[in-house]
Amino acid sequence: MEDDKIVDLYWQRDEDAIKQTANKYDNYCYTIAYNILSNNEDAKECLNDTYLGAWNAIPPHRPKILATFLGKITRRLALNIWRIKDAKKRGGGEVALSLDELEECVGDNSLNEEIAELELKDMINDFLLNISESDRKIFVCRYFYFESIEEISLRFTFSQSKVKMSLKRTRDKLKDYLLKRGVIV
Amino acid sequence: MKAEKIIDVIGEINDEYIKEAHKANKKKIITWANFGKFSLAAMCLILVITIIPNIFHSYNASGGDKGIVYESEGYYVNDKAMSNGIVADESKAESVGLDLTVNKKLIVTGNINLETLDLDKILGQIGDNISQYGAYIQDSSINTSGYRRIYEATIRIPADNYQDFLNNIKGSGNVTYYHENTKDITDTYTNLDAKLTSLKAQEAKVLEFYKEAQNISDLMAIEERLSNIRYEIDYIETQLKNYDLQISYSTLYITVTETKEYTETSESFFTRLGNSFINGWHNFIDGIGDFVIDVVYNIWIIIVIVILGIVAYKLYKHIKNKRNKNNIINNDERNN
Repeated sequence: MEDDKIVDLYWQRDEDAIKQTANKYDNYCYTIAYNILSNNEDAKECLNDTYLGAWNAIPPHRPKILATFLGKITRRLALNIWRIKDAKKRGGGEVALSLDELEECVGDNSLNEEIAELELKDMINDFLLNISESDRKIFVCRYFYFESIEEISLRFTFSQSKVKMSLKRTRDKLKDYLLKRGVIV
Repeated sequence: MKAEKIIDVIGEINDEYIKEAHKANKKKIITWANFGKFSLAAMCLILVITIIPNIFHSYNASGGDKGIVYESEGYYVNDKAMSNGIVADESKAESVGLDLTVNKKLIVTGNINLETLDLDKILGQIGDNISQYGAYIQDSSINTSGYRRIYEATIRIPADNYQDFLNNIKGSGNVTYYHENTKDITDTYTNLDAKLTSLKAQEAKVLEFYKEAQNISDLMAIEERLSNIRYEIDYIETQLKNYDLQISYSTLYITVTETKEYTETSESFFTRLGNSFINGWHNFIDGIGDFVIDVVYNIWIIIVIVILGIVAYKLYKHIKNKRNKNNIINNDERNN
């Protein structure tokens, strides 16, 4: 079923909307959840919450791209679960690795707390707009989808060292960008 | 904590970026089992459309592996050996009577090492050539090693201008190494192109089925099939776009080393002996220079180590003297 029709079902409060969403986007959302949680049960539980989240958000929301809308919900929920579950045993998994990489990107500088999340989001969007398409895709695969270096290298048919180099370059650029805009001081 | 905030914010980036990254998807596995009777018709269509162009393609490229004529690898050391891999291959191709007007898909990649006495000057020349030939720098860096500076860059040059660009670059310094590789991807490209055509035809056909479907289960099966075909189409289009970029823009990896004098080759024994002596002297002087710089660079560590050494020595002496004194006192006491 086309996305517009699925969204219409949500607006009509037809429960078939969830079934159709699951039919079409189960794999997509599961992959994101699994990348973060590395656990089948947790990932499946996260999917149920995602569909519930979508049900609660539409209406009033009308997503332009249903896939990314669901992807964002899944990612947010999975990260919350990860934070609770992994609070005691941090380390391991792609999220922990990604955090380490980004921590290195921020370095010893502190984050300017006065900058609102929305403002920071605009900055990151602007930053992503101004880097090469290839670097951007790799960056998003790593830090949005939490794909491993190996998965990214397979996806783009690049060598793993090229992917690592691209990520390193982008993180360095991001650091400069954030420093110039006073996000990190 | 800081990184977690950034991770959270990345979760809210533009949908387009998320979609774009996801679209660069590896081939999705097609679930053939799900679309019953439509799959048979669609597969027949693929077979017919894919095989026919391939038959024609094989026929046109008769002589089969003569296609290897277009694959070249040139390896050149020093300026004197400069030549043009593609031109050489064209002459070979003509000699076996192949039609070069066939639109070959060639990816040209070159690797050149240069020496220069004035790095800034050669950088200016590279910049001028980039503007003149519509090239661009993909990435570049300058590293300093001792007093030497080494410039490394990856330059993308419109394929038509590659040889002119290269010749100008070769003329601007002393070429110590040159390697060129021409990769013929005509077959791969043609196959992908044919597959794309067939998939598009298949898409149109499945859309027709979609209009005629009479129940929900058929509609869902067709919908899924359509989605798979579109994934395939996107994937192939992206690949073709990448190939087009690589074909239309050749890649040249340049390394320029700043030096005090050029490296000469093809000299007599005595000239080489003399040069070795002189170069040895220069290296010796450079080595001393580098050593002094290293010492100055590490001066604080050296000072700390020396102080620690002196303290340790004094301590050792002090303990030793004390022991000696004790021994003397003990001996005196025994003697008394």
